[in-house]
Amino acid sequence: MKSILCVPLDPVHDVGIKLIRSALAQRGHRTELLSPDLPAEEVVRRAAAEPWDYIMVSRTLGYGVAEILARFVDLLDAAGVRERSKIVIGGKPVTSELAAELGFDRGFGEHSTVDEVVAYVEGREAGAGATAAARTKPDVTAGFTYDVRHPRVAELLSTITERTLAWAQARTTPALRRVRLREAILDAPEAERNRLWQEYHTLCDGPIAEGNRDGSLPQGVRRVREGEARALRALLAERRAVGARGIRHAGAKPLMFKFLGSGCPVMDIVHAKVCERYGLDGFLLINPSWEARYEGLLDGLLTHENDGTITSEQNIRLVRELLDPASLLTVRAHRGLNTPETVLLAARAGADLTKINLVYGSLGAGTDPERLAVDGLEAMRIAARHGMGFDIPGNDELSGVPAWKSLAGQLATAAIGCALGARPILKPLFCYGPHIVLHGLMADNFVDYNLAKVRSLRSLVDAPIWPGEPIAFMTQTEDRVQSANATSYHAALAATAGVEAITVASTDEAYSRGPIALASRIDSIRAVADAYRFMGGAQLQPTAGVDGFTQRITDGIVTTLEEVARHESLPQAILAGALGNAEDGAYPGTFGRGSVTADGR
Amino acid sequence: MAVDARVVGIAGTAKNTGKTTALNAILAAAHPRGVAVAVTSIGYDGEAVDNVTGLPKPRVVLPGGALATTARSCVPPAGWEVLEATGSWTALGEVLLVRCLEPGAIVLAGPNRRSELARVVERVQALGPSLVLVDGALNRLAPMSVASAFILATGAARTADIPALVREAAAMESFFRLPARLPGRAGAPTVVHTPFPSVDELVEASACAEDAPVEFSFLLPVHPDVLVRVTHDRRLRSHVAAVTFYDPVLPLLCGDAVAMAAALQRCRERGVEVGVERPVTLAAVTASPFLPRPQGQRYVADTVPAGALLAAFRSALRSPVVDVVAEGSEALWEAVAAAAAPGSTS
Repeated sequence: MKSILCVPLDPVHDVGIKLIRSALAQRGHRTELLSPDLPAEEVVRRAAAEPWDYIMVSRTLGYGVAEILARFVDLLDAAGVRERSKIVIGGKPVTSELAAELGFDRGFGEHSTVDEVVAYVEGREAGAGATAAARTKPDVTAGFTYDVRHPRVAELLSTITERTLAWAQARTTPALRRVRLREAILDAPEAERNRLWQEYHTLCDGPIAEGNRDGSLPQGVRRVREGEARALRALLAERRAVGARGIRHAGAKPLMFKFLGSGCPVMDIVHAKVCERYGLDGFLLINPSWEARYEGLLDGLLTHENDGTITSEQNIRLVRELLDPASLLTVRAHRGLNTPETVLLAARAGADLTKINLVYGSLGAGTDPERLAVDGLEAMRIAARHGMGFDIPGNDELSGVPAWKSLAGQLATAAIGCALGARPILKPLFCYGPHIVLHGLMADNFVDYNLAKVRSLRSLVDAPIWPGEPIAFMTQTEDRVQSANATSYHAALAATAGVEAITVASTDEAYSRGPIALASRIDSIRAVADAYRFMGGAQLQPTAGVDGFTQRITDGIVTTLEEVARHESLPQAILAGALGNAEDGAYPGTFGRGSVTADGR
Repeated sequence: MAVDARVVGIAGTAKNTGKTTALNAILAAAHPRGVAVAVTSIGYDGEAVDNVTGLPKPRVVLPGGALATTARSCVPPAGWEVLEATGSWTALGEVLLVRCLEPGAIVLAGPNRRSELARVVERVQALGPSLVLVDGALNRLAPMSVASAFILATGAARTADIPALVREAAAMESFFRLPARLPGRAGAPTVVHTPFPSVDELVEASACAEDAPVEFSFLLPVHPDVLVRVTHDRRLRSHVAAVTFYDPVLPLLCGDAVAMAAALQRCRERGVEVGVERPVTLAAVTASPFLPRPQGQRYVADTVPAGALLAAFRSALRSPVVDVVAEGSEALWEAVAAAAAPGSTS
């Protein structure tokens, strides 16, 4: 048991110290709360009269108050109180630096919790903060059976899976040949690597091979300088680890993710570390669009002033290494010609998840459906081998594809992934997409239709659901407050829906005209945390319309899968427009067209 | 001029009164003279932006080879050698003793309580610097008891009322000019162990018999009103022969230097001897015209007329007064060198 003298030096703002006192008393500590109007000299006398373990002072700050507090500390020092008592300051603007400057032994500010103060008194703090120490890495896919609950859907998915696997079996691509070489490079002794790299470069497009071979990197790309990497590590080493705030008010989900992809891994890490401080659970590393168009991946720690961070092995490793061990990292792989290799590098670098969607990657992200199917299947095998889950973003809805087609494509991709031993995650889009706008599906509210997507998927399959990507897509404006609000409402809906995770945009994401501002990242995290606090265990109540939407979506999924199952394989169905056609605004991609060949293995 | 391992404290009357500027001036003057320095702080200093006002602050830049103490989290990533952990803790972590390998800026966060500062300074002195500088924080004074010489940094940031500022500085200066005296020379010493004792407590502590002279030895702060009342109280007025403070820092801590100076003057007028057990040299007073002026929810940098400020100080104080920014580091260095030289007295 400790003895604590609670000193509200502020006559108005003494709520905090009263809460702390109450919490300490409940834990069995002896406390005394002084009247808020005592002069400093009298407080010092009271502090000196007994051997208190802690003198806890509560005070708001303004100019001139710092001197009052410093003199108070001085008096305690001169009176000998500091020899036996720790002197603690609490108040909204208090930081560790300010506490040190004022001469206090410890400071608690706006972001501190009562529990932290109690832990400090009880000697439970571990420097990095109890919250941070207690963080454990969650598993988004844990506990799901992937059982398909709808018999007709199960039958259709089985057919689609079998046909697609059979179709792909005798086919190969440059990406498949590269990934085998890359795996050999990763495992080869140093002496053999050069020869393997040379062979690898014969399978790459010119700019990639030249960039790796002689350093003539694509325009705008440069290596991260040694000093930059060193400064980043030094910055992280210099900054004390700070206990993460909690985003969720209750419960362990939804987990919250944000994109990384500023183009610069150093900036990504700095942003990520701040987001971790605000309680974010994980990050999605997004590659640049040009990378998706080239055969082969650049090697090295690389940066460029463009959207998307180059997914080289070294870049992924740096990000993973410097993230908190409990933070989840997803690496996007489905967009482009390097899907299997990206998944391999992500797995070897310690990433937790990857992103593969055979349908969206073709219809919305520009890759030839056949190429992505062959590559994607190999990527799923690699993910399965390394115990990585993969998420299936439903952003094809943004092209104008109806939700049921997007969800049917996700289910088909998930079924194939399960057959290959991987653990997929469904990602219905929480958005105000073109099809929804055109058909007035959210004319009344944004709750019913988004919730209907989740309810439909839940009725069909026992799989993790992670709305994205990000939530509130197409509802945000360049007004940051509005954007934060829109995000927070959708997050509250996600919590009501009981989903496993959400991806959240920064408030300037759609309008930044350049790199995302760090403050905008925090905007949306704080807004979501506030929404969770506001909702607690309460639920958003949809209108009666949700049932009709759910049924229509489910029926649409069944109809779409029936159409897909009529084709030789999933890529043939995509090419035929079964999962989105020109009328919907979806066009099969062309990157890698004609690069699928017979597998001569 | 040789300066030999003396401890010079740089204390301020308020935030932004020029402590860091004075520190940098001494460092700049010491280096070309080959004087090895060590720096510690009783708070947190050297940050780029003020923790309260948000205004830019001067950085603390140390020459190569200088010693410093700072919290573990404040040690720059390169250019510094960690010599040892001191076992002293601040709100920013354990205080380390470091050596500057190449000239560079550092944020200082040293031991902030008197006893720990004394222990760390002793440790630093053992490493052989010629001069140990103790950088103050805000208006904090108590840890400065370890210093053998003082620089008092004051200025418009304390108050823009120049006459009031000068009155206060003159009062503070008077504490440094109190004569050295050992308790017990005028009567039975009564050591007061209560902070801010009441007159009744002093009566009880002294247990004075009729006609027996009483001498109060204050180790803890006392309120000036109580000293005035001592000279009036019928139980004490004819017995109190002397008042002794441990050092000049103690009367400074009362919070109202002008009132304390007046109370001590009243004591002397009543025939009470006043002195300090351990004198400290006031090396110089620095007078800064800078003040952060509140403007809405932020602060803007402003100044009072520097010439008028300096003239007012120099006419009222006997100690060297320096406007470091206007006059450069040499004037301050000369004062420090004179005060910190071996054998120097106040």
